[in-house]
Amino acid sequence: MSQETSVTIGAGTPRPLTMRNPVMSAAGTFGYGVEYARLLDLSRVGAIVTKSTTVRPRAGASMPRWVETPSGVLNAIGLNNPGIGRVLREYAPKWSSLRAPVVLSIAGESVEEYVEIAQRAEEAEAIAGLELNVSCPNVSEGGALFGSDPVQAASITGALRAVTSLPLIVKLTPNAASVAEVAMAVEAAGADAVSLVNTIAGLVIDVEGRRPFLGNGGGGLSGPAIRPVAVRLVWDVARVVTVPVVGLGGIARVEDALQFIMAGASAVQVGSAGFAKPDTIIRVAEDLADWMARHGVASLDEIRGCAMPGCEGRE
Amino acid sequence: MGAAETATVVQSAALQPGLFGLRLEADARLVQACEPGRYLMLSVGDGNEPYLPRPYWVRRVSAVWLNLLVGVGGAGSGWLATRRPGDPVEFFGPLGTTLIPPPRTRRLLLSGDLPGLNCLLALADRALARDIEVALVFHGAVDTSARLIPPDVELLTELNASALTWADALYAIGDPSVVHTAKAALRTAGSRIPAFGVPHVPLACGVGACYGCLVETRRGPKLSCVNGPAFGLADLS
Repeated sequence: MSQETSVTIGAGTPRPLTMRNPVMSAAGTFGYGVEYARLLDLSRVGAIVTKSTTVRPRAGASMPRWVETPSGVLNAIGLNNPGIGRVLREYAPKWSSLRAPVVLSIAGESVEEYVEIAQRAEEAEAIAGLELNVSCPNVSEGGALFGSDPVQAASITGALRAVTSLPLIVKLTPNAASVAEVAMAVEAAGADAVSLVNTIAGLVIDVEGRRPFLGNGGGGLSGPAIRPVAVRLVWDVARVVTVPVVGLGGIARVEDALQFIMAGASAVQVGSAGFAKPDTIIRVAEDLADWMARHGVASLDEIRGCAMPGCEGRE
Repeated sequence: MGAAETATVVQSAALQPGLFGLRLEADARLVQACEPGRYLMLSVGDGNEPYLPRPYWVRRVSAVWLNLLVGVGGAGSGWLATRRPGDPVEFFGPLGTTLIPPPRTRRLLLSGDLPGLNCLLALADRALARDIEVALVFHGAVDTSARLIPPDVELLTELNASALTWADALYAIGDPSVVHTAKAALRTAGSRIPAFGVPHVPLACGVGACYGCLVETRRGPKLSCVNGPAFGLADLS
C-alpha cells in the first residue's frame, strides 16, 4: 500500500502550494534553506519555510541570543535578517535547485511593510508561498503585537490577500488571549492556512549577574517543553477553522508529529530539534509514512483530527 | 552528512579535576576532514535533556581517532564525561573553516584557555608538522605539565612583548576575554604580526541558520559559524 502524504495549501487558488509530505521546516530555524543544502537531500522535505524577512536589513538583538532551558531553548534573535532585496538577489536564485517548495516568512513593523515584501515576493518565481510572521515575541514594533489582536491580524492578512496570489499562511502567537479568535479572523480575511504556535514568551534570569540572561531581556521558548501547549492550541484552532492548520512546537519524532495531526493539523513544522540532528525533518517525514503503513493508514485524511471527540474512524 | 554520524568511545579518562579526555573512533573520511578549527556538533543526553548539541573542536590523532578534551562544567560536558569505551556518541560535521598558519610563518605563537584547548592543540600539531616552531601561552587552571601539550611546544607564562617579538604570527583561541587580552597585548607591544582571534562562541545550529552566534567586528556583526571561527584580531570589537 502506498501512503498518501501530500498536502495542498490554497487548494482552488491560482497558485496552490502542494507538498509531497506534510513536514516543513519552521521559520527561524532553517535559515534560507541553502544553509542545509550541503547536509540534506531537501527533495525529501515537504517545504522549507525561510527565516523571517523584513523590508530592510535588521541587525537584530544583542548577544546572548539564546539560552538552553529544560527540554527547550529560549531565543531572541530579534528578526536579524538581510532584508528582502538581498534575499531575492542572493538566496532566491538558489531555491529552485533545492527541489523543495520555499515559503518566504515575512515580518514587518507596519501593514505597509508587509505589503511591500509581499509585492516584491510576488515577482519571484522561486517563492511558493508566504508565511506571515505576526507572532514574533522579540521585537518592539509589529510581531506579536499584530498577532495578538484579531482585528489587526485580520487587517494585515486582508491587505496581503489583496496584493498577492501566493498561498498565505498566517503564523499565530500562543501569547494571544484567544488564539482561536485570531485564527478565525485571519481565515475570514483570506488566509489559506494558519500555523501555530510561534514561541512562547519567556525569561531566564542570570542569577549571578542579577539580570536577564538574553541580551534582549525576554525571549521566545521553543522545543519539547512547549509541545503540549502547542498541541492543545492546534486542537482548539482546528475545530473552528476550515483552512489547513500547520502545527509546530517541539516536534522531534514522528510520534510528536502524529499528536499534532491527530489534533487536527494538516501539516507540521520541525524547528529547533534540527539543531542537534539536521535530518530530523526528513526522518519525521519518512517515519510518518512508515507509521501509516504499519497501521494500515492510506491517507493522512484518515487520521487528521481523529483524536477529536466524535471523530469517525477512531480505533 | 546531515544524518547523524556515530563515533565510538575507545578511551576515556579523567585527566585532572574538571578535565576529561575522550578518544573517539569514527569513519576515516570524517576524521580526515577534522582539520584544525573545524568542529563537530555532538548530541548529548537523550535528545530532550540537554536539548541542544554541543560544538567541540577536535584533534585528529590518527586516521580514525579524534581526541577531545572536555572541561566538565555543565550538563553536556557532564554527560560526555560519563561515556565509557564502547559507548556511541552521535554527531554531525565537521563544520567550519580550517585554521592554517599564515604563509611563511616560522614561529607561531598560540594563546588560549580551556575552551580553546582542542583547537590550540590541533593547530599546534599542524604547525609542528610543517616545521614551524610553536609556543603556547595557556590561561587557566589546567595543569599543562601533565602531558597534555606536545613536548615540542614551548610553554610560556605570559603573552608579553618578548613573546610577540619572537613570533611571526599569533592565534588567540578561547573565551572572548582571552582573545581580547591578546588584542590588548598586541597593541601594547606595537606588534604588527598577522594575528587572529578565535573566540569560543556557543553555537546552536552550527551552520548559519539560527543567527545565534554573533561576533562583533569593526566590519559589522558576523556569524562565528559562517564567517569564523578566526577573525583578524584587529577587526574584533
